[in-house]
Amino acid sequence: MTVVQDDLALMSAIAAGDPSALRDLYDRHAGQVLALCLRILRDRAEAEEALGDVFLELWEKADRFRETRGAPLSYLMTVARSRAIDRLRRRQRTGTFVDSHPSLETVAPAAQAAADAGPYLDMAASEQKAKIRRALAGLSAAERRAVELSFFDGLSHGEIAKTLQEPLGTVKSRIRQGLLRLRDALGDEYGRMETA
Amino acid sequence: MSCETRRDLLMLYVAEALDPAEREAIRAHLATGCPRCAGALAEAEATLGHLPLALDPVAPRPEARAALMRRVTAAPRTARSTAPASRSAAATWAGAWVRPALAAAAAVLVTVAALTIPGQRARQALLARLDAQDREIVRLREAVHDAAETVRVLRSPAVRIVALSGTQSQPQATARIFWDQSRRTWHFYAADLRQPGPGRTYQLWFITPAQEKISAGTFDVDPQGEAALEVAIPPGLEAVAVAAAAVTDEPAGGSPQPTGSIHLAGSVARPSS
Repeated sequence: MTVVQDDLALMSAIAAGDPSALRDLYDRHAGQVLALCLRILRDRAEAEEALGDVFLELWEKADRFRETRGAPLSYLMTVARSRAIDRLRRRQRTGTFVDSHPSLETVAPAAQAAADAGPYLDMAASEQKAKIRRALAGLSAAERRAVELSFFDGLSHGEIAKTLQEPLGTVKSRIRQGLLRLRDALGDEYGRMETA
Repeated sequence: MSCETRRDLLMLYVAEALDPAEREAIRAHLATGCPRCAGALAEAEATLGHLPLALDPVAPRPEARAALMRRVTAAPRTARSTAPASRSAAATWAGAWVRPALAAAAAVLVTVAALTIPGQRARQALLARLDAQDREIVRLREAVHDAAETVRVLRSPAVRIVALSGTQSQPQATARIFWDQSRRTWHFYAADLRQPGPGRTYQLWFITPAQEKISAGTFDVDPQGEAALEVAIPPGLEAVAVAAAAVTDEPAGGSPQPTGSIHLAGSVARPSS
């Protein structure tokens, strides 16, 4: 059984009210969800709170997954990104200090993550990770930075332009180009994953 | 705007990187149930949904899991409906489409009742309008049913997507099969196909790993080069035994075995067990 099919079976069991299925899904993907929350929030304690919120939401509203497309992991990541960005914006509204925006390469150093990863990291995941990183590496540094600030930091185009001190039009163009390059590099993998 | 252009915009739509006007235009087009753009939307969501996997995982503290499971035990769960979620979505769609038509028809009836118009011609004109409204309601009901079915298929987790590419004879052509495993049906949508020529038709084939070709039916292409076909997977043919799908052109009425050129082809990934 593939990772996606295992996840689909777990999602069905969660929807049916089986808490052990939620625990199994957590054991599979909590490390990846926490990495994303940490990347966005840059605060370990708050990222773990967000992690708990994401899986609790999955438990309480598992039916929603039926209304989405794609693999459960993709859905989980979409929910995690949304919840983490909600927390980030709430924090910004209350004036809490926010660190400068780190890049993908500077968060969760690989050596520490490899030591921590344990059951979360298997060979298939490594290959997938390498493929996504290659796709990101295919972007120019400016495109990658703009996409990261948009996707991982939830900044508006105007906020990104201010952060990077670039004209708004330039920022928009870089985000568009960057996303389309990612789509072209990864679309066959995820958008057409059923095609051999 | 073409659907190919929209495919680019859909990536930005999912990333929430569109201007409000562009976003609304895309939202409105998606609401029409365009299968091609629904497929592109799924592609964009899947691509962006996997982007965070570039990050190295970070193991949470064991206490985090224990805390979650305590919250899970304490959390109230809303009653689970046995009806698929897509059915409620379909109902919403139906409401959005049919209600205005019904309201319009009702308004005409009220008008008829309220007015005391002398003369046969006026009454006939109103009755003709009512007939037209009735026909429009029937047309809208059918459109809603089709659109709701498309939405149901696209949203079901039991649906897998198989892409078919144009071969050398028609490299511009594309098709997707939405494989509904729970209902054992294929929903086939093709675009940019040329007309098959006088006396010819297109035919879709299931192909088994042993290269056995089994007809899945014939179909016509509309003037825009688009086609749709819903196919029940034949009894006795296990879904897992389908290795590929292809479209050939055949004499009108179809053939027991493929005889014409192959115009679309794609492999079907075999589900692991």
